Amino acid sequence: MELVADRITKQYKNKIAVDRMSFTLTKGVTGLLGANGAGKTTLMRLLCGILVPDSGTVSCDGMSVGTEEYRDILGYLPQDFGYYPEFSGKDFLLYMSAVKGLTKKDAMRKTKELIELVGLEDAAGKKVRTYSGGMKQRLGIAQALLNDPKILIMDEPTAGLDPQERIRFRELIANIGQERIVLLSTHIVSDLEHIADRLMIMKDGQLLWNGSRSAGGEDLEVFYISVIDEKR
Amino acid sequence: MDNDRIIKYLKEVCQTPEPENKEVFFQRLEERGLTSGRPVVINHGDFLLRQFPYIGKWIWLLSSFLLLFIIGICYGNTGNYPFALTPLLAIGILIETRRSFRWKMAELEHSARFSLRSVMLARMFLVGAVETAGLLIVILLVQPWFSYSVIRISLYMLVPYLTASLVGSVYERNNRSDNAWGSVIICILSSAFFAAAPYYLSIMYEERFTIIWMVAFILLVLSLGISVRRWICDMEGPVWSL
Amino acid sequence: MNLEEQYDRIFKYLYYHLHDIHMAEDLTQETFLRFLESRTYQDENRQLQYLYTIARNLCRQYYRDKTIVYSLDEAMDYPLLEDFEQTLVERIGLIDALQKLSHEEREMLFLRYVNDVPVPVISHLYHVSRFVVYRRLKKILEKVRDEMK
Repeated sequence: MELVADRITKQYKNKIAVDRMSFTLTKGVTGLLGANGAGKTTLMRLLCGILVPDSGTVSCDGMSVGTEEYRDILGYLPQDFGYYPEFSGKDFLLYMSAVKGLTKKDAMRKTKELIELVGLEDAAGKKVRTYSGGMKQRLGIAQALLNDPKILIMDEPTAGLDPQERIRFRELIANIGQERIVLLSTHIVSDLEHIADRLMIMKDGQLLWNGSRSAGGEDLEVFYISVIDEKR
Repeated sequence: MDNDRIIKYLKEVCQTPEPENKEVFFQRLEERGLTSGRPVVINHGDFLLRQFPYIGKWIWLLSSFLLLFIIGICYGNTGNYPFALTPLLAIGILIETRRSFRWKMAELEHSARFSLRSVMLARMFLVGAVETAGLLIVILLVQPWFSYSVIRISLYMLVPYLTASLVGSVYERNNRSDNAWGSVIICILSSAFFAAAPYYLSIMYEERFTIIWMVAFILLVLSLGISVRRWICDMEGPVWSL
Repeated sequence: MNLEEQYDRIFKYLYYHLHDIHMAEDLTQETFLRFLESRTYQDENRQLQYLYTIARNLCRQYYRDKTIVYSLDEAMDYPLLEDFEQTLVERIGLIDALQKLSHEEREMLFLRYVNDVPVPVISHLYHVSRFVVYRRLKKILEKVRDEMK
């Protein structure tokens, strides 16, 4: 499994949001670090086929981004997402299962399984609008996993989670991250300390640093600041 | 030399050695349980059916109300203006296409296998198909009250409906981030236009002009197809503004 | 879908591209593993299309744009049939004609007539309409026929 981005560029109005980025993602968890506005969300949308790059290509094992086959193995958690107003947590997951092409039977089974995995058993029948930020975020994580994705892309997955939920999320990612390509973005460096195998640091649409987590040394925060400063 | 002979030679030229490990491989697949019980992806028909319950209930209420209203107006009223009510039916479809964006589901749907395009097409198709079917039933019901043939009534009803859909689809394609009033106004204006038409252009409703309605109908269907296609293919703009 | 039958076809397809029996079989098995690990379709043509997509991608990954050339020796290895002289000449003619086709034309011909891949599947693999596939196949055959005259 290899997700290859080859010189992708995306311009929006006069701003270059992603500037000739090339990298390869393999199995394991990659953390994408960068300040707000560094282009993380645009990059993730490009990797999910939501935006089409102005130039360059994205593909996984030869499957090009934007094809059904690619989307079939993709799980995506956007930074901000909503829900149809009448939805309960369970309805939300069943709806997403249908859009992801799961049969009714598979949809019921996966929904039940994932509700347990993210610990929403008691709230599954309640309307999503009554959920706390952390609960909604857990629901988002669950929908990303419905189709058993081989590529999992999560934009700020820990936003809105309380400390306990954060720990739970870390364990979850550690478990499911081994056999998949996981890319998660954050601007909170400590989120990645224990879960990322690799790091990518982005600034102004460019990749400043790309390497294994261990190369970052003991204190990730210090390393991150040194990389950002170095290129100034 | 004929094609069959070429194909025969082609098969000979492309002869290959036998694979060597096929049996072992399949044995191992079976042991690992990979050859049976794989999860299935639903086909497009199933997808369409599964989308049905997710269409806003208010659309069905509005459509049923309008269709009943048309029957009521037509009853004992054989003027040409009852036909002008059909553009209001298009309001439902046009507003329904905004649902994903309005409720911020667009990005999630976009990255799913059946993607935002399929979701939007499915909604348009389902609402459009049900409304058209309803309209055809209404046409058959009201036809005895008119001196026109079924075909002429169908044209007089469907052309305004398609006009509003077409103008609305062009508007929606270009103004997705604004609020939905534009589409409502377009539908009401189309309705008003076709309501006024019998007074200014009553000649158009004479039998000899049926052919013009026919041509208009065909042109509208084609343009609507093209417009929807372009609309569906361009999902970039609205995504940026999410 | 009969998996074992498709195994032979995919093997044939990969052998046609790679001309290496071990590599072809390795990639055939990899293709099937990937195919079986992912979700399947109700529609048989969709399954076939996915199978060929994986095989083609794997092949591209290993040998980027390698063009296939049939050597004359290989063509002569095949069991010779009745009226020896004529078939031999015609077959060599066919090989020459095939060389003059583009990579894609050759592959399309192979998929349709050697591996009996249904036209709808081919149309998806090349992202063109069925009508275009029919027309192109007809044209390619004409080209081959003209070349062999």
